[in-house]
Amino acid sequence: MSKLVAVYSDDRKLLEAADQLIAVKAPVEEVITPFVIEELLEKFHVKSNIPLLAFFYGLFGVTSVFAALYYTFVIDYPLNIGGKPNLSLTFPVLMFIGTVLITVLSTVVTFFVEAKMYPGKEPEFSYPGINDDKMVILIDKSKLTPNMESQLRDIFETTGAEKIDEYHQ
Amino acid sequence: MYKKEVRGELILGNKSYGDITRDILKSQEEKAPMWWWIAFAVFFVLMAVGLGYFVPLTIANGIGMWGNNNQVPWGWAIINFVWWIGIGHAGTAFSIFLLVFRQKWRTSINRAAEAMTVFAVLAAGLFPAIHVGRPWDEFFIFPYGPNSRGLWVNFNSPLLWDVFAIATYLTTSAIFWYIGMLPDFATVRDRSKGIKRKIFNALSFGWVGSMDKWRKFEDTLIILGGLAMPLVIAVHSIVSTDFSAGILPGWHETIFPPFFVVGAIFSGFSMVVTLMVLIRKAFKLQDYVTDDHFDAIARIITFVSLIMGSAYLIELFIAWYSANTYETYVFDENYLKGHYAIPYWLMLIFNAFLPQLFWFKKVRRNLTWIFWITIGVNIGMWLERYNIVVPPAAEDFLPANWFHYASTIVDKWVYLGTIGLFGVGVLLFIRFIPMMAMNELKQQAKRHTELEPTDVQYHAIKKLLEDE
Repeated sequence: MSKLVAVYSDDRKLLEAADQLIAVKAPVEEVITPFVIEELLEKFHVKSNIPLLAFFYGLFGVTSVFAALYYTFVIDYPLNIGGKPNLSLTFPVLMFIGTVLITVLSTVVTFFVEAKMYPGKEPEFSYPGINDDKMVILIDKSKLTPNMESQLRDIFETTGAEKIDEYHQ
Repeated sequence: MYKKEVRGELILGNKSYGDITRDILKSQEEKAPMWWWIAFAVFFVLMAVGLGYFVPLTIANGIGMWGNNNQVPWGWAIINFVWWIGIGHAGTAFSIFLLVFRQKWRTSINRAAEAMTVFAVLAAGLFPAIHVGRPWDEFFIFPYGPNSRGLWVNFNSPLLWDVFAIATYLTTSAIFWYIGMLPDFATVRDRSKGIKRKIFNALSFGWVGSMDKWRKFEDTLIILGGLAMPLVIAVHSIVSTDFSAGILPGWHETIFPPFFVVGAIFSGFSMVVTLMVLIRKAFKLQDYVTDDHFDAIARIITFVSLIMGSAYLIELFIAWYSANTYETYVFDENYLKGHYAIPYWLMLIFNAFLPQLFWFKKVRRNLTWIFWITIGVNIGMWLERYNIVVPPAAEDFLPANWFHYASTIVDKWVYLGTIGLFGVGVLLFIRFIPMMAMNELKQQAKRHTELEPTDVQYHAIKKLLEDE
């Protein structure tokens, strides 16, 4: 698969290019940056479902820890500790900690699964400097209409791309 | 919102993104300096002797090797435990509180603070583990089911909450630290060859800074931060409940949970500052850890010190106001002018009075002053835990039982061993892991140049002016 690669070293120029690419509805496959650029994510409407999932993990955590405490202390082995009730007000302490633990672990697993990351994985795309000081815009050439490539090259040139390159996978 | 005119520049020297990478990775790409080897050797010896000899000695012979006695069953072990846990709150206080409150000046310091958290909590966890006397029975703490013994663990006990709270805190802090490092591991991977590349390739999990990954990365970090923030309050409140659930005068206080949490943040911040002063000097990182950073931290330390001072006063006042003989005895006879007056007054000086020097701008911006005041706070916070743990237990309700506490050589060496563990951990961290979050620093560098026109804007403005 062949890709058009525009390399920038200034994030403001990159953002200008992004504006113009969005205006011409260019098939932008990916923009890779060495640090997060919030404005870029907003422009491309990049969203994630992690916050919503984390909320459900939290709900699962709080109910499962309560169920475990209720089972052990009320159903399975009710102890008489000075006549105190078995369904104790001390439950929320462990419910809170257990919920945090379950939510943290599940959220992190979700992050790695959704981002398709695992130890030892080779990077899906590599280009000199993309984790250092270079930002690249990737365009899937197979999705370009006939005249579009030259139009995009113009955009890259006018917005001050440092280099326009081709990448073959 | 970060206001440059109020807080000052975050990164000095007009750094480019490439400069940031080079400056931060210099410590691991160049040969280790001599001081690093000397410091590593010293801490390694402490760790090897303390943990390699005196901990097995304790396990083999029992905790009779320590200074604990019937009257003072908790000695240095719990003092050190609470002290290390307090320092361990540095990462949360710095990194997570400031992340959630969007305080951008955290950027240069958060990575080191998180590293300290992990090593400090590891050091802390050792003490309860060996204090139980028979560590091989520790699996009984975990609720793996009643089948073998016929009963469950006591979920009502603050000591059991501690096991879960600290295990969860360690897990969350370590994960938060690691996830935050993924982009920087990828930077190191791209600059390395051979075995080093392989290691950092494994560590970076194949990271590529695509938009989707950045979105997920940011969301995951803020969620972990949001969850860890109340956790830090819970952890230290629970540690304090270990004491305040007891009936001893001097322990049985409702003020303990907030008092402990604030104290933990106090000692955590101070330890971070102490180490950042050293790191800045050693690696010449004054462009990244600026005087403005220290100024901001010193202001927080002053504020927290005032809270600590107020808490000490409230304790004294309530003891007097309660008119309870035993309570008054602890504070009036024992602390203020009795057997434990020296550690008590030293604690007041180090924690409540000395940090007040930070009201002076000159002190806040002088590294020598900052270093020694924060060292003082670290000592003061250790003494505070000593004052809580030992005096109330040594002289309780029945004078016939009174028995004073003296630590043994084993106590001291186990403590030194954990200092060795912490030192070795921190030294390995600054040598092998990017010690500042490069991706976040680059984000800050971007903010710096936001107001300058780009080339396209510049030419457009120039053309407009020419046309006119």
